[in-house]
Amino acid sequence: MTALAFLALGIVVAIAALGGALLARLDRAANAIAAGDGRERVVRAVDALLPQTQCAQCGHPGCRPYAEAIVDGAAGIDRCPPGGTRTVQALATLLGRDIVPIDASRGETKDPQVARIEEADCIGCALCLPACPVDAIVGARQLMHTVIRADCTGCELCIAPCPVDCIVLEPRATGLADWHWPAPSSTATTKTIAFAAPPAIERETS
Amino acid sequence: MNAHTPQERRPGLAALVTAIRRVRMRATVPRLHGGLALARDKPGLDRPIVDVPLPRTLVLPLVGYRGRALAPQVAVGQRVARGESLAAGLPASAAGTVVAIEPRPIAHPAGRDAPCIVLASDVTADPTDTLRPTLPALDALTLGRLVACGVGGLGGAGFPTPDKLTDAAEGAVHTLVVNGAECEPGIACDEALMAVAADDIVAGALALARLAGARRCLFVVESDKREARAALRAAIDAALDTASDTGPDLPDGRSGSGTSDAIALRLIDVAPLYPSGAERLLLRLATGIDVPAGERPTRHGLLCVNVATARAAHRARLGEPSLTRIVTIAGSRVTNPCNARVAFGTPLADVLDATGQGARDPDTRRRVGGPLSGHDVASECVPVTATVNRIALERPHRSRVAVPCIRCAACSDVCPVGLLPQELLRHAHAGDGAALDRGGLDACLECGCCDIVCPSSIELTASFRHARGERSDARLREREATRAEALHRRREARLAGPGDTRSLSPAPLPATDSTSVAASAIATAVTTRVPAPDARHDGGTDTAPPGADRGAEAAAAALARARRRRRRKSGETGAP
Repeated sequence: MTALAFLALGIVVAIAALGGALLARLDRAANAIAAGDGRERVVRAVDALLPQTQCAQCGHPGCRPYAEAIVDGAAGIDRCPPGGTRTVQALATLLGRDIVPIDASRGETKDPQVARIEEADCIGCALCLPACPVDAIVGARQLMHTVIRADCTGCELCIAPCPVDCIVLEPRATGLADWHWPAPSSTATTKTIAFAAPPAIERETS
Repeated sequence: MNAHTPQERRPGLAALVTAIRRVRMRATVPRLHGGLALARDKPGLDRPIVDVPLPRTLVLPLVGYRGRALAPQVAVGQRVARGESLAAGLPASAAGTVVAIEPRPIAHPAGRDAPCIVLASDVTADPTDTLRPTLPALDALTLGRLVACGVGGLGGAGFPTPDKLTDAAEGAVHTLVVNGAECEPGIACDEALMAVAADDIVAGALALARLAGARRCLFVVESDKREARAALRAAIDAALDTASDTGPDLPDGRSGSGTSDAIALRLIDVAPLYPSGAERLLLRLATGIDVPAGERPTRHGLLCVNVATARAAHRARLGEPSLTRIVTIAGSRVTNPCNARVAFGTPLADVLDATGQGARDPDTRRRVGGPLSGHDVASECVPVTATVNRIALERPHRSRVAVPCIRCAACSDVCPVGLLPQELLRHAHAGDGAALDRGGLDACLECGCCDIVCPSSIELTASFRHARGERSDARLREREATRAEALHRRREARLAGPGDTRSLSPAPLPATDSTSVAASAIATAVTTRVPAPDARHDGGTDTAPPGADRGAEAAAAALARARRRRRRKSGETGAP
């Protein structure tokens, strides 16, 4: 059964990968799958491409409901600011739709962030606790709250209910350990070589 | 290049398999696929190692292996003794006073500042002050001593040596490989050290081998390092002689003998070919064992250390903390190429001045590390750390125009790990992570051989480094998304549980803008979860949240602060 599920999913992905001229056929295929028992599988495939921030900026209470809306045709693929263009691209490839810019009215794409509670200002009102879609805030009434950094998705849903504005958002990656090499300035046009005089080269003739 | 099956765990069979494999490998391979025979360019070997005097100000970055942040164990204003621990694995290079803990430029390709401990050193006249022992000598090296003396990896990557030995304690390490290959042109610090301190290196290797439980010890040197090789040969022979004087049942330099204490010593020559000094390649050349990318050599019974690390281990046994390293000073704009012993934390400017490099032209480029493996640094304030094996002053970059790939496959011919760089580049440009994984991006050593031979001047290595970062970011995103999804599911299940009437039907919320969506989502959540809330957050109309009288005052104060903050914020943005 699982094998069958994987097989079907594999076919969807493989078809999607062909892209280009096959887009129209792919669209029909996706719709056909969506019409029957395959709907659940497509929803899962779409859900897997969403960032799982659960921020509700798309107008749906979570990523899974948005995935269902996409598959049912009730929502476009341009409503996920946390996913950004990367997610739009992936969804467009999977579903055979056109790549569209993110709907700016939904919010802007930001770098990964996490919430932090200014502990001096927290009054222990517990209003932020039910707002968190991933239960990443611990606390109780009259007691200070704190955010479990590892669990926080940076969805910003806790910001609005806080009566004292004691929740701040911080970029997730700050340390050198998170640093990666940037893309080479422009591989297509210019190149600066790493050393002034290239060492003499004897090509191995093996 | 073929991947061997993981080591067998059954002892008898494993020994047989290993023996057969070793014979086969010795008969056929130990040689690399590809690699480049680069011109031998080893600066400063014709003169002795220069001792750079201790500078007045030492800057010690609170940065560990792979950019991990270290927590300082000292406070500003505190007096520290030489060798005292400033943070985990970071001993003070000199006695002095901590004057600041602040961000400073460090030798990292990111070019960012990082938190550093700034130490005002008690300058003494003796430049070799950093070499005096601070602890009593031990009969046998211990892990605790390595930690206490701050012995870290002095090779290219700076992997913490105590961690390697902790791994070694878990696996059955049979062979210690001492890396003296130093195959990159322009760097000669290991070669200079081998020539003068071969005895220490051999003694340190023996100490580490005993600590790790290894039965043999292989010293790998490139065959064109004649002086260093001769010195090592003599030191190994001397060690074997001493051993045979004390015990009758001893190795002949080829195989281990019956006694548990005996450690076989062997010197292995490798052809001078870049990048044979890369750990995985070196292990294959020396032992015939392939360690797959991403696996620790200790899992395969191997432990690999740099010659300088072996020496530091020996000095640690004698009680001397690891506070200095040999640095090659070279490059096209250097007037006096040499090798210098530098205390960790010495700014580049002090090293260059002390070795007589004179005034620098304004367009001079400063580089840390080798011509292929290193990176440029923006300022001379950058301090020397364990991984700084070379400081170079170079001419400015020359630009070359990169043209499209002509599919000559020169890059595949030289790739020492047998990848297909031109294919990987295509996948990297397409952002095809799965194809990059299949193509073996993880195995890339970032050695730069493909860049050198590319007739189109394409920056392959830089692209792979970038692609690798993107891949690890993508994997992290994937993990986090999976975790968030699970947490969200758990919450949904909890809310849908008995006693709660909330429906799970995905009724879309009215979508206007993100704030109103968020606010209504919260409103739903609050009505469902908080029984009869006294106050609901709604735009700017704040009321005191529910709570006992005790907290009322604190709450009022917090609200006042929040209002002030909001006013300030709206004043900044100009919004009403």
